Amino acid sequence: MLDFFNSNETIHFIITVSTMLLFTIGLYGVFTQKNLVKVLISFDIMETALFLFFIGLHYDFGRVAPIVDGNLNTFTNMVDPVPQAMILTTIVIGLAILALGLSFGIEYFRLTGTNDISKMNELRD
Amino acid sequence: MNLKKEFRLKHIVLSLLSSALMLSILGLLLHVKSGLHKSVGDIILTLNMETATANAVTSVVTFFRGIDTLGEVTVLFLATTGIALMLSTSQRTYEKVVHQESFILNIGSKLLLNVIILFGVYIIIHGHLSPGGGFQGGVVIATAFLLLFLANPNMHLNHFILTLGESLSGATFVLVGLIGLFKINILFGNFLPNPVSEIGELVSGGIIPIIYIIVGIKVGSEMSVIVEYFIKEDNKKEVSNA
Amino acid sequence: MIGLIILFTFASIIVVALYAVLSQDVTQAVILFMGVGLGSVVLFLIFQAPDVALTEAVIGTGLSTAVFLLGIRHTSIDKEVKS
Repeated sequence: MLDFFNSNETIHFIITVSTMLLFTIGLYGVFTQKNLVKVLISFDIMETALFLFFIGLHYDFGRVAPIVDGNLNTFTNMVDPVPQAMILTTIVIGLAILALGLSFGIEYFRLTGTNDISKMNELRD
Repeated sequence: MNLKKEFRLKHIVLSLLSSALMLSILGLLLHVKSGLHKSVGDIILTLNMETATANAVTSVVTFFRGIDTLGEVTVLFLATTGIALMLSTSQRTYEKVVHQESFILNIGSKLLLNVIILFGVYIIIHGHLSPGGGFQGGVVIATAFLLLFLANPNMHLNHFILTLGESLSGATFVLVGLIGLFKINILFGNFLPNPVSEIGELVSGGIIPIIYIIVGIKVGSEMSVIVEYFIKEDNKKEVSNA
Repeated sequence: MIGLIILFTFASIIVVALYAVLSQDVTQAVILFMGVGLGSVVLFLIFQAPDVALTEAVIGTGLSTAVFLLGIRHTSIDKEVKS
């Protein structure tokens, strides 16, 4: 029974289905919510699901982190370091874009006094 | 428990189908099968012994894929400029609101600030020996300034030093890459001596710790400016022009 | 064994995210989103990625929640609260 849960196919199947459910929850939030801040929260949930998907699919059972210390001496049997380097910079950029979007929301609230996205229709003729 | 009470079926079905389509395309592009393919990561791990850094992710971020870090630094700079443009106060008249100050919060936050900044500098400097680096340490330093603002909302940061730190570190980053190009014909190349026997020491790896320190200064100053602009919104009370 | 731990952590993250999207109070949603970030830190450690776990811990728990709460404060009508 425990051997079934330690195989690579089972782990990758669990990761794929769970991140798909998390992405669905975030996308549902973007479609239906009316408050501007809740739309941004749902967008951030979608991003977290994608990060988990990237890092999770490159994990095999039995490999170690790509850091060498006193016990390990050579770079063998390690996890791939390239996806980790890409996700690292993406997380920091996600924070900066979130702050930019919130600053637009603050300025719009100061001009019109509403943060309901169904009332933002100045461009409709 | 206050939840929404109505669910539309078409929203749920549309979300499920879109996410299934997107994740299946991503899975096909990543093309990950356990142990069947030799990917770029294996080749990088075998080449990593020559750069003499103990942390493989650090050498990928600064040396093997240095151009991606240059693009990321540019995007951070553009985002901070956009926030500063939106939340500046040069076009409206505001009267300043002065908050009450508390003596205990002032002294206590200044005591704790030194410990947090020391921790952030430790994380930046040991980026090539253990998990850490410029991005993590820079955000820790910005958290220290957030603590200072929460304790005393009337505080001012020295904009001259922050601007100087951010612009000088950005220019130095590009300069270091160009020096590598002119000396050994590789953009962001490693032109300082890095012998393999010194793996695990603090001074090792050539140019890699220096690049991470520069990135750490830039990220730390930018995040502090973002936090300051968000908190300074609280000090404005709009003057009603009659 | 590891597969069971991954399964339980993913189940708790999905329940917390569902609660965060469907709640009516915005402040409650932000605090629950911080819980999603904490669960993802545990998952990044299980997937043998300590650098990514450290970055997500500092950003998702510290600065992201602070920026959200400041944004909520300035986009809601509270003109009588300022003293």
